[in-house]
Amino acid sequence: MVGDHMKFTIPCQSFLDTSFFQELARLKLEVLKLDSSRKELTSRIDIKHIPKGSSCAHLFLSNESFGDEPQSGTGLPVKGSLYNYNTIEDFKKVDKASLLNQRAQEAWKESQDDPNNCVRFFVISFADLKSYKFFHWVCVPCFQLESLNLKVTASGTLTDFDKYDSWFDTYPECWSCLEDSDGGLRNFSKDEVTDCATLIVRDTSTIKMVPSALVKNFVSLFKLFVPKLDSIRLILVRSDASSSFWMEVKLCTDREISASALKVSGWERNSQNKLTPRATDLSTLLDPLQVADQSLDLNLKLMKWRIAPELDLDVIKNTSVLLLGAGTLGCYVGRALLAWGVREITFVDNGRVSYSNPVRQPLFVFDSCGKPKAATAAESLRKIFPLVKTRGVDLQVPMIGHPVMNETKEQRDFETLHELVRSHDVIFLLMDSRETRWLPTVLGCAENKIVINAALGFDSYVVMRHGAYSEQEENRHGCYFCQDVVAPSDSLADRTLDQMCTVTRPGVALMAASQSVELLVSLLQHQDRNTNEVSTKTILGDLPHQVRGFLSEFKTLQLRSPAFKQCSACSSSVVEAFRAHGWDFVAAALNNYKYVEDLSGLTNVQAKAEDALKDIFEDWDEELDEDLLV
Amino acid sequence: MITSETFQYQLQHVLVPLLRRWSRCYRLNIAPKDRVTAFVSQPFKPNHFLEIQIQYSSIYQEPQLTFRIWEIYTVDDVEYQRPCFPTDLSHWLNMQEFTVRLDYLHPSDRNVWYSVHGCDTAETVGSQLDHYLQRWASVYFTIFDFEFSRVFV
Repeated sequence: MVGDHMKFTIPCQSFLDTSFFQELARLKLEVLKLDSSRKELTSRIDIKHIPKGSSCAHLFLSNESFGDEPQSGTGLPVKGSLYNYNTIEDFKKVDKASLLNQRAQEAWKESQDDPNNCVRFFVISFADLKSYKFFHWVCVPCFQLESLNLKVTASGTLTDFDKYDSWFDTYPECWSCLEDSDGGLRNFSKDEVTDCATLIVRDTSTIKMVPSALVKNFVSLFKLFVPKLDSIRLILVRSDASSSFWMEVKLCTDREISASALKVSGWERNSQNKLTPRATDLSTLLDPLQVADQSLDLNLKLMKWRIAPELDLDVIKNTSVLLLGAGTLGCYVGRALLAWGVREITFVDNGRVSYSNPVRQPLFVFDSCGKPKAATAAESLRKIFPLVKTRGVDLQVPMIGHPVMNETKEQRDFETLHELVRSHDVIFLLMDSRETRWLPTVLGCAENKIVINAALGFDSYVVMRHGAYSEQEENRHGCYFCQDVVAPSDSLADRTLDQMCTVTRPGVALMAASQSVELLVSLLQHQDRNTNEVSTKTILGDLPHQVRGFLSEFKTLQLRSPAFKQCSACSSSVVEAFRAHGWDFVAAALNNYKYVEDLSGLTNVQAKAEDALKDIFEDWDEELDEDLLV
Repeated sequence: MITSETFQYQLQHVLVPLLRRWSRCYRLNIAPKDRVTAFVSQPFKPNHFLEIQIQYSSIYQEPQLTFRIWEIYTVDDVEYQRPCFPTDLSHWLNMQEFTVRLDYLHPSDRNVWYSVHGCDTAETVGSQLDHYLQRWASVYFTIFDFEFSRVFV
């Protein structure tokens, strides 16, 4: 070895823990998004606990490595940085030599103020979040003054190991120190180096008498500080005395030293000693449920990257939704809510899946026929996304104008429904008759819930959000019943099959369902949530009161109808009567819808209309008689 | 059984030196300080390695041994590594009478690891606290290496 060019081994081997990639994935989705600028990392290199089977120390990166706070654990702290690229192409086309050179120059300059900065690392990465593959390449810059050649003139095992080891125990964060001519140890710095010719470095290598390439960084720095020095005594301190050693090194220069001219290396080689990037594939590791969870969020969070950065996804995710009706509309609405990330969906229906249902109702299949609709829809939703909190409630919504036949059961159904309305944030009215929608409308007002209503005609539909209830009707949006001058009553008796089933063009239900979910999502983005503002907008655009669609003309209209003071469902006289009397009020309305008309004032409205009509006919008759006389 | 304090002391002063002497162990991480992670080669399964973790189980008051298996492969010059879950672990490990289950959800990242069930630890290792982790390792690490006892020589 004596007189030979000095040889070096790799500085360290990296290991990026799975927690590092999981934190990277989280940051990428929620914080960095398209930001590929440099981010700070920290790690530690532990030279005290290198196992027998390893040729060098290790650089471990975990979720704790993000940020500039030193991570916990044993070893020397090391600063690093991360460049996370947005595409695999960007990752591949990084000019590796140029990037390494920049980072080496930076470490070189900063080490002139603090030699501990000689040890740095950086990582380039690309996180493929769709396949859970994380491409990465770690670099620990090792540099040497270009004009400098190092030759070993003598070497040997260290005899006074304890002296150096105890100094490093006192200064656990120092990579190097100096020994003066009296044998005293001091910090390595430009100011201290003048009368020293011995440099002590903690060595990350375990190969006998071969130091790590990081030693070049410290020797180059030493030469820069003392250009006239032509030899140096190097002491390489390892985990124990038997492996630590010293070297006399001749510092040969073939030309004048240029402080900025460096020979650099540092890209890590793979296990086959090739200079190529690595990848960690975590797709097999993650719990499939977690993958599903994150994948659902992924698509939604991507909206926030460019298109709608202010979109509040959490409010959607944390909204619980009650779907009254698990038919065509209920099934499509359930799926659209799931796609938006809603995690709590309850279906209510009292029907069973019939053989005609599966082709139009996408949560049912042939095998579902005969099963309860609500529970089957919930089960299907769980099969699609197991993390959704969903259930089906077999319940007949009490209907106005349908007299009470079994009070115990109907009161129990009413109480269950009331509790369901109370315990959800949003109620969708997706049933197939007008009178079924009446009680949930009243309950929605009484409990101040968001109520979204969707109803179908043969080739038309209406989607609306009921006005947020207050006793003041003036500024309120109307409800489904606000344009009626009669209270809803039994519309099902004496109906033929085509009148009892919802006969619509199949696409109408999809359109109504999707528009109703989009209306809810837009509403949730409003700062006041259930607002009565007119012509208001959210970050998703318009927030209409109602949308009416006409498939015969492929046309949709935005409409607003104000609350009707005598409405049979949302007028304050009805809602306050319900609040005061509960089931007794409901039972009275079920037994006789006229009770509600009297209460709301509709009876008077009808009487006035009758009178007005009578006046018109009388005037008409008089005019007719006069004409005849002529 | 072993107390948490004794475990932590012996982890640093007994187990880590043993693992450093284990010829198959090529990487050791002691972070956080109450947990040790050892990376171990599998001579009879090239292109694979084991990541073994030892920490304290406060439920059983015994050392908790968990591990996972990594596979290394190359595609288009990129070296990949991924966790793998072989169908028959007995081809990979010296299972003997140990109960190994894929049932440990790692608290830090919810990833699933294999765990070596520790319900018989007290009987196997004995109750004396001196050299507890030494005895424990001499028994349990034979799962990964029949010749683990060489570290004691």
